[in-house]
This record gives sequence, structure tokens and C-alpha cells, in this order.
Amino acid sequence: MPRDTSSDVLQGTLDLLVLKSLALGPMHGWGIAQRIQDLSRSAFDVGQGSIYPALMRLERRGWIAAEWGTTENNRRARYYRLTPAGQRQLRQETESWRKYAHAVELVLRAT
Amino acid sequence: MPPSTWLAELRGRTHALFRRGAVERDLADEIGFHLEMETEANIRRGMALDEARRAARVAFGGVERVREDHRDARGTRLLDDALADLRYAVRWLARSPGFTLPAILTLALGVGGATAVVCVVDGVLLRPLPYPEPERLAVVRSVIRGETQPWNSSPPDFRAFRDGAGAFEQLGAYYDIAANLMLDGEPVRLSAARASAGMFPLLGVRPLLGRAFRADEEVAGADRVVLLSHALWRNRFGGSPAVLGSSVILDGAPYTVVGVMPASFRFPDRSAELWLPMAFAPGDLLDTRGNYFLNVVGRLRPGVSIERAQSDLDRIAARVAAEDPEAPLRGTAVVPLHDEVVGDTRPALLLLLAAAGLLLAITCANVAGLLLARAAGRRRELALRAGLGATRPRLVRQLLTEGLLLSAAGGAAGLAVAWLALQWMRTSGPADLPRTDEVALDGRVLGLALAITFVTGVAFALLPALRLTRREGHEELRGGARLSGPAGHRRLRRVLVGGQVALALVLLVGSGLLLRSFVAMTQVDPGFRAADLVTASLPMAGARYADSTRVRLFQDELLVRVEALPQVESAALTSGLSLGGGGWVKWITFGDRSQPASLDQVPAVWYRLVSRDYFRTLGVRLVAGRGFEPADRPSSPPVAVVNEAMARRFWPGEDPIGKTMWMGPPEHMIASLLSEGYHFPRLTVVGVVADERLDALDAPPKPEVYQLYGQSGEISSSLYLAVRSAREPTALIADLRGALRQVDPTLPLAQIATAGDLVRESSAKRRFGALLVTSFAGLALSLSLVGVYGVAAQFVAQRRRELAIRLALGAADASVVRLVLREGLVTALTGATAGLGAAFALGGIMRDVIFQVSTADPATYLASAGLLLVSVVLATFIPARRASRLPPAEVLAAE
Repeated sequence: MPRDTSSDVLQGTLDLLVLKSLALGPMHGWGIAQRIQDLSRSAFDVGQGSIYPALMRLERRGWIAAEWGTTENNRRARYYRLTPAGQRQLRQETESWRKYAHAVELVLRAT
Repeated sequence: MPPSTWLAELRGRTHALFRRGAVERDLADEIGFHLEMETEANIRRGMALDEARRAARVAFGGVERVREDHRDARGTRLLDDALADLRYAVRWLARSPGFTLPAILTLALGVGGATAVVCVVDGVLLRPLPYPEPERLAVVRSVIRGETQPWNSSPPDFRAFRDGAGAFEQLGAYYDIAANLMLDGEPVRLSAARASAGMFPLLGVRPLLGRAFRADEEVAGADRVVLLSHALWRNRFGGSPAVLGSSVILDGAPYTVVGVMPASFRFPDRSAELWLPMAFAPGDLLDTRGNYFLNVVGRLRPGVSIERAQSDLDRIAARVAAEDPEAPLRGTAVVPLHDEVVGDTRPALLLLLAAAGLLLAITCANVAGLLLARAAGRRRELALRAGLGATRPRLVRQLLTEGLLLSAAGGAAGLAVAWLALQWMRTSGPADLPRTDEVALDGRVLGLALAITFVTGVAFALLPALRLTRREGHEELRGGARLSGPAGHRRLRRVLVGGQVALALVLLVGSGLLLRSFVAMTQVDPGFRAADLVTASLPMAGARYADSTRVRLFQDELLVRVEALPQVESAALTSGLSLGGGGWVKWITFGDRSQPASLDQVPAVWYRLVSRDYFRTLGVRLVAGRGFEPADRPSSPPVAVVNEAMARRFWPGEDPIGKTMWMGPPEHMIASLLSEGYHFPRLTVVGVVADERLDALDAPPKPEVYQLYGQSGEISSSLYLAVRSAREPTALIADLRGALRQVDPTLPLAQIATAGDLVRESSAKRRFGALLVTSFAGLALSLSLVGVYGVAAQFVAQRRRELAIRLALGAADASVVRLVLREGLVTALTGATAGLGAAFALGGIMRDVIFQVSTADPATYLASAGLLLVSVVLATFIPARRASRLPPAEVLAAE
């Protein structure tokens, strides 16, 4: 079932944000949500839950890997980490995102 | 995508698919962990526990929504759904065996019948012959002066073709013979063929062991070599390679085994056990222009058309005719070998295919009707699922899965039916159906059966599915769901049933026409009394009988011994047996009329040599004059008996008795072939007998002349014995063998049959076809009756209330019965009308397979329609009676 375009964009962006947050080190789902919120200073108003489908998507593509581990409070949690393929992907997406943002910026600046 | 990525992706998806439960549990655990962490964080931010939990939920978003999105993200959605559908469908079908079993059985019969027939059609008609590049193989026939049908070829003509035809890479010839092989001191009669050396390379077949014939073995004296069939080699020679070079006794002479053919080699047909070189001694009477007995086969050069080959050969025929004015060859007829092998089975098989197709269509309509009727009961269930958010494509997919599952089960059962049907056909089918050993359930046919199954599954599931999931269906939840569907739904069901009735009637009419043809054939007078008559063939290939005096001595002694057997009324020998083989055609010239101007115009008739008691033994009725008598001695003036067809053709309105004629052309026309001053013996007609059917009951009788063995100098290579006796055939045959052994211990008795067998065999193909189509028609009739019954029963179920009110208001039982009968009959009558029209329009395809009945035979149409309508009334009567017995009070109280 196709989704509308705006959420496609959102989905792509979310994927990039998840990859970026994992570049800082392995983390569980809640921690990733926190990182995204912190890094973006809460600019992205998406339900925290929506990172889970995103994590599934990324895992399926082999960009991230997951395994169960324990938190410092001795809680069982699923930790995600970036794979080498994921690191490559992150570099590529960051690049293209910058180009894209730059292009949009140029257009908007022109009066 | 780099390979590592899609490999990972594949692994991910597979994992997600097969570890579905584990993935779901992981997700639930993660969500739980997430909410706990968020709640704790909220508490740290100073919220109360309840508040913290609520805020955590809000920040997370809809848990169900996340679950759904997670499932989508796994990329296994379609498969997941399909598996769920399948599980659901299996449960649904298993829950209602009363519907599932009849539906699967119906499908099995339809698919099985169609598959079996397709298999036969494929094996017999479509599959290429088992030789390399079979499309380049063609049969060459000779067109002979004065004959309407092309004939086989004479040896000199064959050599002319072989040496002159550039269109052919190679030409070969063969003729069937029977050979007596001595095995362990016992003579065994085997089917064999004499073939020119070119025959085997031309077909592209190499011996399994040893070698084929060499051209220098095509010479009398050098031809004592033999090739064995694979079966003969295995069964009688122990399958040992040492057989090569060994000597066997054939027809009393030693032959050297030079090769063994592969098991797949069945040429000219599957009965052939031996092959010998074709060789004629100088002066051999067979090797003349008047003997048309060679089957000629050729391999066309690549790219050469049949027409080119034909004109090439016609040119040679013209040259032969120009060089030798007496040669009867006028032209040639070239046909692809495949057409020749398949012969006249094509129309019958195509008819069978059409019948199987009709049956399959009826089957599908029937199952669609069943599904539709059941679907009516599922409207509430589907409406509920739609209300819970299932989309229309999702529901249609669900119903399609059910249809496909049903048809897959039906298809599997159908394959079993097809397999059984083929086994039965191989053992009980007509013996003269060609290529039955090549018929097999192979990959192609299986693929087709699969396709048939798939298409039927989709077809009969899609219709009710689309109809049921229409938007108005959702209204069902509101308002009391009735048992019935909407009016359109009922109409569709009526159309399906009407269609079934129409198709069933087409099949009924078809089978009626075939049955009438079959009955007409069994009523044909074969010309002889078949009861208490045993016939057998005596191979006369032995070299010792090469002179006519010794043949006559042998015959006389055999007859004396046979007639001396207990309970033998009379016995006779003949050169040809009606419906059993043999028979020659000879030129004829009449003494009392002006002689034909050229050889072209000399008429030809069938000719049989018989012993004196032939007519009495066979029970052939004498119409005028007398039969052969003891007074007709070799030394007395030769006499002949003719049949009625002969009298009609040559002496219409005249008395043939006393006319003279001779079996040959006017002598001056072929003077070069005859010795100085030779005259054909002049025969006087002394009697007229009823027509015997020569080769088939359904072929018109042919003009024929009978002459006494004793009064003709000719030897017939085929000799048949007929014995009239009321004795039990098995005991009689044992005695016959004994009598023959006393006369000549090396001769076997072959092709032993009662004349009744011969008559039955000659109608076997017709009986087989009629039986098959009739059973298809019977099935079709029963299926459509089930349909009609269903329509009437549904009508009663839907109108319970109305019917109950009528009964409560005092309507007579009869009027209620009438009401229901009308519902069934209107549907059936509409279908029947369409069916009669279709049968009439399709009648033309039966023209080649029916006999003595018109394709528009009114009696057949009336009887079929009558049978159908009576059955429909009976099928409708059951629900109608039930309707009239409704207890009104209960029905009304229940509503």
C-alpha cells in the first residue's frame, strides 16, 4: 500500500537520523529516540514508536545489526549497531542530503 | 544494490517470515522496555507514576499502528497474508465436507477427463513421430488408372521413384508379411516386414546391436538375413548379444541374425517382430507393374515441400506411362507420414476433445454454482470482516485462495482420474487406435492440467468473490441477514445452471448421434452368419507351397480332416476373410460387350478364391443360380459366382447368370507380358450371392467375384480357414490345431477368432467412442441436474415464508409444487433451448464420425431434450414436495 509523498520524505529522513544517532555507538531503541530528540533539539515531532519500523527496515537492509544485551541498570534491551555497510550508507546519505539541502537553500535564497 | 546488501536483505526477510513469532515477541519486549524507560525518565522529570505512564504512551504514539508498520517494514506482508489466507481456506473447506467432497469429486472428473483426452490427442495427433526430423518423412502412393483412391506402389514403380526423384534424400519401401519362426521346435507365427535397405537410414533409426540391411542384400539369394525386434530378442533370445551372427529357421529356411532394433522402434506398427530384406527373384510375379502392394516412404530433402515432391514424382509417373503404355501408373499422391499414421482417428479424437471440453466447462459452472450457493451463507461473515477493516482486495484474495485450494485438490484428484482412464484406455481401448503406446502423462500434459486447474480455480472463485464483496454487501450487517442473496446473485446462479443444462444437452445430442450410428452399424448385415463360425489364418509363406498343385493337395487334405472332426458342420478355405483381412482386386473383361478402348478403361473388381463349401460354411445367402458344386472340377469349364453389388453395377436389370468374363484385360493390351497365344480362362457366371462386407461394416459393399481354388492356377499367399460348428470354440480350436499338425507340423494356426469377434472388432472403435461420449454426457446430465436441484432448493429456502403463508391461507399442495417446479423448469427450458441451438450449430463437426444418421436427426434431438426435461422435473420435484410439506405455523413463528 503506497503512502503519500510527505511521509516518504519523512521516512527517508528518519532512516538517516537513526543511522546518524547510531554512528555515536550502539544503542537500544529508547536511547536512539532520546538521541534524535536531543540532537534535533526536539525539532522532529514524530511518535517515538515510529523508530521501530525504521529500525526493522534498516536491519533488513543490513545497515544495522541488533542483539539483545543488558543496560547499566541490568535491564534486558535490544541494542542496535551500525554495520560497515550502514556506515557507507550514512556517508552517502549525508552527502546527498547536504547537496539537497544546499540546493533548496539556493532556490530559497534567490529572490 | 551490492550483493552483500541483497543477501542481508534476503536473510532478513527469510528470518522475519519463518521466525514470525520470535520477531513479534522481540518487538513486544522492545516496546515494553521503551515505555518503561520513558516512564522512568518522566518520573525523574517530576511526574507522578500514572501521569508518567500516560505521557510515555503519548510520546510513543499508537502501539498497534507501530506494530502494523513494523510488519510492513519486514517486507513479508504478501506472503504472510497468503499463508493466513491458506490456513483459513483449509479450515473452511475442512469444516464443510458436504460441500468440499462433491466439489472436489466434480472437479476431479472434469479435469481428469479433459487431461486424459488431451493426453491421447497429444500422443496420437500432436506429438511428432519418434524419428529425427519427422516432418520430412512422407508416404508415396500410386494413382492408378481406373481407381479413385491412391494405391500402394508396385516394385518397378518404386524403383523408378527411387532412382529419379530429386526431391527426396532417400526413398524406401516395405510390405507386411507373416513369418513362421521355429523356436524350440515349435513354429511361431510373427508379424514381420520386408523392407528395402534404405528404409532404416531413411527413418534415422540405427539398430541397437549389429547392423541394418545392406543394398547388396536386396537381391534374391543374398537376402537370408534378419533383424529382430527388441521384445523378441529379450523374450525369446534371452537378450544376449551372442545372437548376432546366429542362424534361425524362418519359413523353413536358415536366416542369419544381423541386428537387433531398439525397443522404441515400432515400425510399421508395434506388432512387427522381424524385418527381412525386400528381394525379388528374377521373374518373380510380385515384381511386376500390376502388383500394388509396396508401402513407399521417403525422406524429403531439407526445405522441399510435399507439393514439390509430388510434382517430381508425377513427372516420373508420366515418364513411366510414356515408356510403357500398359503401365497402369498415372500419378502419385504424397502425404506426410504423420497424417498417414494418424489416419481417420483425427475427427473422432477431436470430437472427444470437444466433449471433454464441454464436460470441463460444465464442471466449472457446477463448482462455481456450489461456491456461489455457499457464498450466500457467508455474506454475514464477510460483511463482518469488511466492517472490521478488511479491504475489498483483501477479501477477494481470501476467496480466490479458497477457490484455488479447492481446484488444486480437484486437480490432484483429476490427475489420478486421468491416470486411471489412460490405463483403462490402453487395456480396453480399440486395438486399431494408432500410437497408443506413445500416449503418456508427461510434463507437457501435466503443465496443461495445472493450467486448466489454475484457470478453473480463478474463474469460479472470482465471480462470486467480486459479487459478494460489492459495497452493498456491507449493508448486510444492518437489517436481518436473510438466507438469500440479492436478486442479481440468484440470476447469476440461474445463468450458470442454464449454461450447464445447455452444454449437457449438446453432449446428450452428440452421444445420441454416436449411439444411433453404433446401433446402425451393428444392424448392418455382414453378409454371413457369424454365429457358430470360427475363423483362423494359415500362413502360406513356406517355400514348399510355391506350386499350385501342392497347395491344392494340402488344402484338400486339411479340409477333409477338419470336416471329419466331431460336430463340424462344414469347413472352407478362402483367400480373404470379410472383416478379417485379405482380398485382391483384379481387372475384369466381359465377353458379351464391346471391349474397352484402352487399358485405362478396363474395370477392376474384388476377387476371392474359395473352396467348394465356402458359401454354405459362411452362411452367405444364395440369391440366384447356384453355388459351387462337386461337378466344378479343375478339368471342367471354370465358373464364377458374383455378389449382388457386382450384378447391380455390371448387369443392372439383367440376369448375370450365364454371362462370361475373364479376370484380366483384353489380352492384346498386355501382349508383351503374356506368353504367346495365352488367354485368361473364360469364366461363366453360375450364381449370385448376397453382399459380404469386405473391410468394414460401415463401408458400402463392393463388386466381387468368387472363383474355386480348384479351377484357378493362382496361389494366394494369404489363406483363411472358416469352420462352422456348434461346438465350444476352445475345444474346437484345439482339434483344429491337431488336424493341421497332421497335415503339416511346421505350420501354425494364427489369428484365431470367432466370426462374432470379427464383427465386434470392426465396430470396436465406434463402440469405444460412443461409450466415452455417452459417459461424458451422463456425467454432464447428472451435474446439471445437481445444479437444477440446487436452484429449486434455494428457491424454496428463500421463499419459506411466502410458501408458508400460501399454505396457511389454504393453497393446495399442488399449487405450491407447481410454483417450485416452474422455477426449476424455466431455468432448464431456457438452457435446453440454447443447448438445442448449439447442438444443431455444432452438428457439422460430427459429420465424419456418424453413420447412417443425419447430424440433424430429429429423433435424437427430441429424445435428448425429452430425457433432459424429464430428469429436470424429477430433480425439481424433490424440493417442490418438501415445499408443500412445510409446517406453516413453525416457519412463521421462526421468522
